[in-house]
Parts: sequence; C-alpha cells; structure tokens
Amino acid sequence: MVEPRDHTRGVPDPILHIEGLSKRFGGVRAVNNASFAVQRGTLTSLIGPNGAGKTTLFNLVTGFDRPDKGRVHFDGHNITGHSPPEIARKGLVRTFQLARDLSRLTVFENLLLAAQHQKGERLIVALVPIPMWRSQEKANSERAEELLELFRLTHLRNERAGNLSGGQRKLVDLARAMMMRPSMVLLDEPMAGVNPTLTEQLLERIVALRDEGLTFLLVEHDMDVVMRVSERVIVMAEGRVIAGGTPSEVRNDPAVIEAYLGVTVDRED
Amino acid sequence: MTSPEPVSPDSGGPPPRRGAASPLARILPEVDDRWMAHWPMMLLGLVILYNVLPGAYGEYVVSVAVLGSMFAIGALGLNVHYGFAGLLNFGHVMFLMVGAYTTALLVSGRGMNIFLAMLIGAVVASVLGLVVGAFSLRLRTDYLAIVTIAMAEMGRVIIKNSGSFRVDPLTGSGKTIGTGGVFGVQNFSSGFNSFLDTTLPFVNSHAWQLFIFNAVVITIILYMTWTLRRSPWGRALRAIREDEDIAAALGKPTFLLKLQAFAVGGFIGAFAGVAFALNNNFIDPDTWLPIFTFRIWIAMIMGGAGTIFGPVLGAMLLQSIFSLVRFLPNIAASPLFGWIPESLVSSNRIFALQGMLLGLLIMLVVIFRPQGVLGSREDLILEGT
Repeated sequence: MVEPRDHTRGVPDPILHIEGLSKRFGGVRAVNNASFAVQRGTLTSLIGPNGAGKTTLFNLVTGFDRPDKGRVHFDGHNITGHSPPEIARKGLVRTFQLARDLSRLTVFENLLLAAQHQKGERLIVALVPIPMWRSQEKANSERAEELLELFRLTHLRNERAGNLSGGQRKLVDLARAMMMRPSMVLLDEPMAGVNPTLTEQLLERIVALRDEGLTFLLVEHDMDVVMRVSERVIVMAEGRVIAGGTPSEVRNDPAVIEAYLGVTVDRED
Repeated sequence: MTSPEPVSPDSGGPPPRRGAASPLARILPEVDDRWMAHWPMMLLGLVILYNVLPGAYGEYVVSVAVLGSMFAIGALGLNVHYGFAGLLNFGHVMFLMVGAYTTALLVSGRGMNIFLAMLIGAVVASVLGLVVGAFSLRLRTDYLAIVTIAMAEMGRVIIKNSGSFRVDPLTGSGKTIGTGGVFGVQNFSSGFNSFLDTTLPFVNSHAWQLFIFNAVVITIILYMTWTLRRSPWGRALRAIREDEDIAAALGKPTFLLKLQAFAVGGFIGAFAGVAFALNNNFIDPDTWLPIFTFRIWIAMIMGGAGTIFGPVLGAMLLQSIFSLVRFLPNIAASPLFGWIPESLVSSNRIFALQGMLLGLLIMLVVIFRPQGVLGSREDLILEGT
C-alpha cells in the first residue's frame, strides 16, 4: 500500500516551469495559455477529461510539438523549441501513452539503448574493429541488470519487447527511462491497460523513486491513484489549466467538479 | 533452459514465443555471427564447383560469381540503409554510378593509382549521401523513396548530357576530361589488371582474379558491417528503424545517425560500381538505370535484410538463377524436356524470360520466406507490434 506523503516541502524550487504555453491544431486550441510549475522532488499529477490537452502539453514540453506561444523552462534552461533528443539529454525524460517498446529489441537491449553518452554510438568509434566501447557497455549492463532486478523483469531479460504484455511493457518503459538517469520523468498514463496488481507494483516503484528525489509529472485517469500518491494536482480542461493544488483542494474546487461532471458519467473505467 | 525464477505472480512468466528461434539465435540474440561460417563455405563451394565442372563451364560459373559478387557489394551497402536504419533508398544506383565514374575518370584522365581513385570514388559517394540525406532524411520514408529514385535518375541524365563539359574536376583547367556523355568512359582497367597479374601470378584465369579481388572487398565490408551492427551505433540505428520517436525520446540524435548510415551505405555501394566498371573496362550512363537498384533490392530482400550475410547470399542466388536461364535452350533441347516449345526459350527471348523469372522469384520469396533466406521469422512477426 502506498502512503501519501507530507505536502509541506518548504521553499518552492520549481524544476519545470511552463509559461503561457499555447498550441493550435487548425481551429482547435489544444493547449491554451497554460502555465504551471512542478516542484523538484514531487509527484505532480496532470488530470483532465479526454481532449483536455494533456498529451499535447507533454509533446510541447518534450519537443515533439512546437508551441505557438509560451516558454518552457527546465532546470534553469529555456528548452522551448529544442529537439526531443536535446531535451531528453538534459534529463527531462518522457514515456508514451501507448507502451511503445522497440519490439524487436530484447528487454535488455531496450535498457542498454537508453544509457546516455555512449561512446560506441559515435560512428568513428563504432567503426574500430576493437570495441573501445566495451568497458562502458559493461558498466551500463550492470546498471541495466540492477534495474531489471528492481523492476522484477529479470526473467524477461532476453525476451523481445514485442512479446510482452501491456503491463510488462509499461514496466520496461519506466525501467528504460530510469536507465537515462533523468532528473524528471513525464509519465503519460502509465497505468492504462495494466492489471491491478501490476499497477500497484508500478506505483510502488514510482513513489520509491520519488522518495529518492526524482520528480514526476503524471498524466493519469485513475482518480483513486492520483489522489492517493500526488502531492500536487493540476487540472486541465479544453486546453486550459483550470485548477491546481493539493489533492483535497482540487477535489473540492467547483471549477474542477464542473469540468468533470459531464464527462465522469460517460467514463467506462 | 532453466525454469524461470520465482517472480511476483502478476507479471507472469515469459509469454509464449511467436515464431521459433534457433538455439544459436538465443545465444546471439542481437547479431548474425554466422557469416563467418557461411562466407568461407560459399567460397569453398565455388572452388569445388569450378574443379568439378568441365573447363568452359567452370570458367562460366566463376564469371557468374564475379557478377554476383558485384551485386553483393551493392546489396551490402543498401543493407546499411534499409536493413540497419530502415531507410527506403530506391536510388541506390546513384552511389554505384558516382563511385564508378569518379574512379574511371581519375584513372583514365589523370592516370591516378587505381586504389587511390577507388577510395576517392567511395568518399565522393558518401559525401553525396550526406548532401542528398541532408535534405531528404527529414522526410517521411515513402517520400524518401521518391526523392532518392529521382536523384539517381537526374544524375544519370546529367552525365548522359554532359560529355562536352570537359572540366577537370581537380584543377578546373589544364588537361581536360569529361564524362564522355552517351559514349561513356573506357580503358581504365589496364593498371588494375596488371596489378592483379603481379599480385596473383598463380591464378591464370582473369575471372578468378576479379572474383578474388571482389571477395576480399566483400570480406572487409562484411567485417565492417558486422562490427557496426554489434556496436551501440548499430543498436541505436535499429531503434530508429523500430520507432524513431522512441529513439529521439531516449536522447538519440536520430537525424545525425540516419545521415551517417546513409553515408556509410553510399561508401560501400560505390565499390559495387567500381567493381562493375573494372569488370567491363567500360561504363556508360545507361548502365545505371533504376532496374539496377531494384535488382540490388531483390538480392538484399531474398537474402534477408538486416542480417550480415544475407545480402551476399541473396545476390549470389539471384545471379545464379539469372544465369541459369541462359541454359534453358540447351535444357529444352535435351530429350527429357522435349515438351518445352523451342520458340519459348529461343535465345532472343532470354531477356524476357529473365524478367518473368525475376517476377516469379519475388512472388515466391514474398509468399514463402518474406524475411529472406537468412532473416528471422520472429523479427518479421514483431514488426510494428
């Protein structure tokens, strides 16, 4: 069972700061003047009805889409308009809504791939017949083994990622993100399509990592989970940020209740 | 296999495998190491065939192998593009053409050492790869296919119409050389041939000499692609082939990696063009028609895209089948095949028959072994899951 933690964390220290972010797709304002900050070392949830612009916001923050307006600051750098690999290398790592594993690579290869600053990824080094990248690869392998152990994936080590179940893939996604030694992770619906026991296991991992100082921004539909583990909740609807605060504050916010009412009835989960 | 260690009940054991993996494939999950056995076996097979067959036939088989090895080099280059990085390059022949022309012109016009010229030809081809890649690799893969095929055709037409330009590419003045336009370039192999005669004095067949040279080139390329594929660079490329967004999200500089793959494949492809030019001692623009690219594609697909040795095997198989068609009149003349109407296999229909056979071959491969002879079935099934 995962316990909520103390919300009072002293001086604000935002690791991610978004100012007036906007993105239009044709006539649709997918994200409309969104501003918020995520404090270092917290688990913040981003919630909202379907179509609220959560995934678009993720894409804007991680460089997969260019914002029309607004700025994104991460860890003291303005990363607005940077490319996805640049942003990832700065330590802001994302996962995707659908577990998008590299199906033909094994679980182990998926993890090894994610290691940063690999010498052997430079063509000149890779061309040398004597693998000068061996020692680094060995160190990365050890870390990968540790992560597999931690995420209880060791038995799937040499399995192609495409052969795994949806829940197992989500675990691989998270383990792979950890391999990059990020300072902040954006998780896009990590529990979607995952069975309850595995959800609990994933959650346990996330909270443990948060306790070690990692920052998480989580998009999640399961309100139970969100209210239980997050220190702060940001609510989006129709592209706007309509509320933000502790779970209990948000739960009683009239704007949030209004935004959710029409939608909750339709929801099937 | 030992029984899976106890795990939390929810994550379950390994799921049932789709497609069988050989024991070897389980030990070596990421790299096709078997080329080290397959390649010497193929060479040995050729030597045996040469010695078993009566004189003229043996010589013919070697000349087929020379052609096959030339396609093999081309397919090895294309394999870096498509097999490693998933780049749909339908203009591969442009790399061969640039390599062949650069080499031929440097040798015939400037009397340059053939090996230096070859190297420069390959470097020019990979620079071309960088230039073409710089503006086309950001396109979606299907557009890349169109751009590359157009580039190759443009290059061919430019060379075809540029015979009178007569500009020295190195000094811009002095002794002028040209591409020869429709007439092509010839007589540049003599230095190469005398090199073969002095290095391989014990080999008295020219076809064998050419084949040995190509085989050495192939061995070097096989070693190079094998080294690349098992490196983290190769792994990053495979990731791009699977899902470029994921690779980007993991911090891989996807555009740079694709550009590098394009240049490396072009570098290798240039040697196929050089081998072709040296074999014929003549090149002209219409050697490099799109069908050339497609034959290289078929060779690579047949052998197994993404494997190390597949392109070589595919090229040799394809060339063997092509050449066997030539013997159809002889076969039809034998009593056993008397029922085949002679008009169908008359020598002036051989080209049409080759084309038909090629079509049939592609269909058979796609139906029965879509992953190629050496490709992994599991890889194919997992594609896009």
